[in-house]
Amino acid sequence: MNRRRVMVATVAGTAAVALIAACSSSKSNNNGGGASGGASSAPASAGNAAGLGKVIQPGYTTKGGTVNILSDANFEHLDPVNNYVTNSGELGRLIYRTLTFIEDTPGGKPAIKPDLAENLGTPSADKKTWTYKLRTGLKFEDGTPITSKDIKYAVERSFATDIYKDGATYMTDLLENPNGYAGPYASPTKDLEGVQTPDDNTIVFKYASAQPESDWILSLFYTAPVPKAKDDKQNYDFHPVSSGPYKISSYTPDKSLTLVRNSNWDPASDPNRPALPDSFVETFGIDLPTISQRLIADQGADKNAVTLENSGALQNADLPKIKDPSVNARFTNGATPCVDYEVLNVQKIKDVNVRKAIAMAINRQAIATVYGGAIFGSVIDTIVSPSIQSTVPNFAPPNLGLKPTGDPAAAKAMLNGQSVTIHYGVANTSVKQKTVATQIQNDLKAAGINVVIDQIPQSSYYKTLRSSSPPDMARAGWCWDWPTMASVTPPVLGGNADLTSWNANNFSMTKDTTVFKNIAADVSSANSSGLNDITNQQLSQVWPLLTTISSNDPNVVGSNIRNGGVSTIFGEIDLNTMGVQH
Amino acid sequence: MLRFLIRRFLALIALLIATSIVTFLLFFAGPSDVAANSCGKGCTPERIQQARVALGLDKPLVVQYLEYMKGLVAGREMGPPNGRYWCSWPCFGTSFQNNRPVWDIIKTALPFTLSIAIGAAAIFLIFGVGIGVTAALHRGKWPDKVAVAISSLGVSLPAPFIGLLFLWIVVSKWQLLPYTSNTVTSPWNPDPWTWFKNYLLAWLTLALIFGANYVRLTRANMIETMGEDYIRTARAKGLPSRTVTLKHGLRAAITPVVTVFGLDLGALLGGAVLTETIFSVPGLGRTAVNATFNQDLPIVMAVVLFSAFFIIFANIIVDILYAVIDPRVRLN
Repeated sequence: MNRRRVMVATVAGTAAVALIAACSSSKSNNNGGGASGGASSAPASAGNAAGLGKVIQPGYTTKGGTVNILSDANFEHLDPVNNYVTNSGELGRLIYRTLTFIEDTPGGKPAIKPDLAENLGTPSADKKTWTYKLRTGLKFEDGTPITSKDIKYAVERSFATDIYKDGATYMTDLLENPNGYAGPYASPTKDLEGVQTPDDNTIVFKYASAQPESDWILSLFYTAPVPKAKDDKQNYDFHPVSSGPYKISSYTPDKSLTLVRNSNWDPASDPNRPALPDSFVETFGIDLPTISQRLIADQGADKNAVTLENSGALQNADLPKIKDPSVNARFTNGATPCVDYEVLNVQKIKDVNVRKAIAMAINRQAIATVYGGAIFGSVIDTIVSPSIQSTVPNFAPPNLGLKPTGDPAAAKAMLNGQSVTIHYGVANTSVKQKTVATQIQNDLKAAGINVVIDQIPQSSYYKTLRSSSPPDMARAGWCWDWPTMASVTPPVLGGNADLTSWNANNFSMTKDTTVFKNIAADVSSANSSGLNDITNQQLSQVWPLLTTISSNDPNVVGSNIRNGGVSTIFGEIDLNTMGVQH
Repeated sequence: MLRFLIRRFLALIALLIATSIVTFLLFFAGPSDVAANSCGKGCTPERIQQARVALGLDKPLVVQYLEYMKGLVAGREMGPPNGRYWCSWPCFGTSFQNNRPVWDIIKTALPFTLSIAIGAAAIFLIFGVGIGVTAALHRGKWPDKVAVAISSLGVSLPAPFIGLLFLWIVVSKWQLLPYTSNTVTSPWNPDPWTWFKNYLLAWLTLALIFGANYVRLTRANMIETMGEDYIRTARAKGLPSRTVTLKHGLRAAITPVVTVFGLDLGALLGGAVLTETIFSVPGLGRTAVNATFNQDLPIVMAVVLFSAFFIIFANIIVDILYAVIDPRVRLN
């Protein structure tokens, strides 16, 4: 379910999506009236067949009640420094606050807001130094005041990568660190010079390079304050101290987690969290098909239930039931931050015309069908997900000139009789990936391109893609961390020259440093439309990859759930704005 | 008898050590690079190496194994250099996923598996043997034919089919029983009736599958035994039919059943993977499946060791029961 796991899961084919065949219910009308009580369902913002952006029973403001969360596996982490996954991220926002906050009310555009900070940051002229003032009256769950030093300590912990290996790395990557600070445990006598706390209410971030998107960068959980006295390293995972509206009242890993109101959270200091329910009770260890059945059946306590599982745990056999008006009224959907693409390794497929011919021949509509149809995702021409597109001024996707259903004849003509054989890598346990590979094999065969499908062990799939001998072509994906182009283009089209970044298309091996300099310069100036130009130019002229599907997160919720919608940032049912009729 | 027991327990330990070596090599010396795979976005070779050290995978395989075994009996220190912590015995390591002690995970999962295994075993043993005896005593008549038909069906149907069918009809359609809850761990938590309702369908699923073998085995053995000369002699002496059947017939016929039961119970205690998954019971089997998907090797290793322990231990109990049931074994 995490950003990494979203990608891994789609490859592994273990999630419900992976096994879902073409889905007629994608054409079901999700704009139907509401269930019993309360206001009627809001229509999908664009009136789309997949129900994207729909909010179930919106406008609910009554506090109280309990939301039951049905889950399969336990969280990986609740310690904010290691919390980098979507399901625990969605829950984490209820427990701890961060310096800034990505507002992503279902159906709306994402926006950056101050959270613990009073206002968004004040940058220096070169945008390398950002200063934030904290709100007053901030407290931990035990009543202790939250100071800037608690936030700095949280950032310091993110430098202890020897202990916390699963968190986001932006702080270690971007902050000034002239003295080689390595976390509060390895460097107890050193100071993290990249973060300064002149007083208890002020915190200053010093970046090694200009970071016009500092406000977004600091919205991740590494700025969630951690009281030093309560830090017991790895064990903090099981009892993170609350700074948000809810605190953990009981947590038995693999069994259940209960959140109750944090009496030391002051709603007046937090305009971002309505905190409607009195409590959240999450139960782990429920099989995905059972979750799907229970949410649709809507019996007993499940009337208050939701799930944070991928694709709402919806199963193939259950999809037709979404057409039922009583279920359809409880169905919502939303775009995730993720875009899937087919890597066209520029070092292995050196001829740009061959790369373009491959892109031309592939039937991406058929791939969308393998994904489960419009409910689960749609064909996209850019690496920029729809949620970012809505925030970029004058956004325009690249003109790829491709037919969604592919055009093998045109591709064949472009190859002009050239004999081409490519090796396509698939994870050996992924049913979905193998199905897509076979589809691509057939498409390219019609264009005169021979495809050899190479099985890569699931456990080393991404390692192989990042290795010095990757396949010519393979599936990968990217999920943004904040909704700007700078969080997408550099990591996907850029990457480090030594191939240690996520970039899986070896694009950087073209040694075209101009491109990277342009990207870096564009990020520095925060000129998103300029970055879009670079993105479009690379996608339509260099063809390092072919974007395929922008994925969605369809969900059915219990009939007592109000304000039910999918958050853009995590691609999960949004707990932050949710209410429950009681 | 004491020497016999000592011998068997020494064999148990030797077998467990052998199993641990094979399992350890299988998982930890395999081609999978857990450290690399645990390193996601923003991954660098330095971070992979840090993860390798944190997971203890940087040491030679022999050292890793010896430390693992030491931890089992005496506990051990674990973690990266700046985050060392003590793992008390029996230390099966900590989860690669979330650092939780594996022993805690096993302790959480075990009551669920015990609930499923013991309940199911009681049903399939009692009903399997009972129906088998009935079928044997009515050989060729309708009770026999019905028993053979049911047992054939039970042998043929896979657990997912039966389980999902039960869930769909009994829980979803008719709503006679609730969906399985993972808060019900034992007959006294919260109460016997809730426990019974919570696990009944899982028990019946397993009972239908396992019980079929007991019906066939008991029936075949009873038919053979009831044709023995000493049974005829017992009847000729005027013993009541019930005494002849239960004391002389069943006692002799049940020995192979006990052997199979020992193996089945041992295997079930190691985790009924499919049934636990279908009924969302977070027992050892489901824990192992999740851990396998996540490449959480310490958990997989621990579950395998537990399964091996249960099977070997159940065999020892069977050996002891042999001596109780059959005096000839005692004499030997």
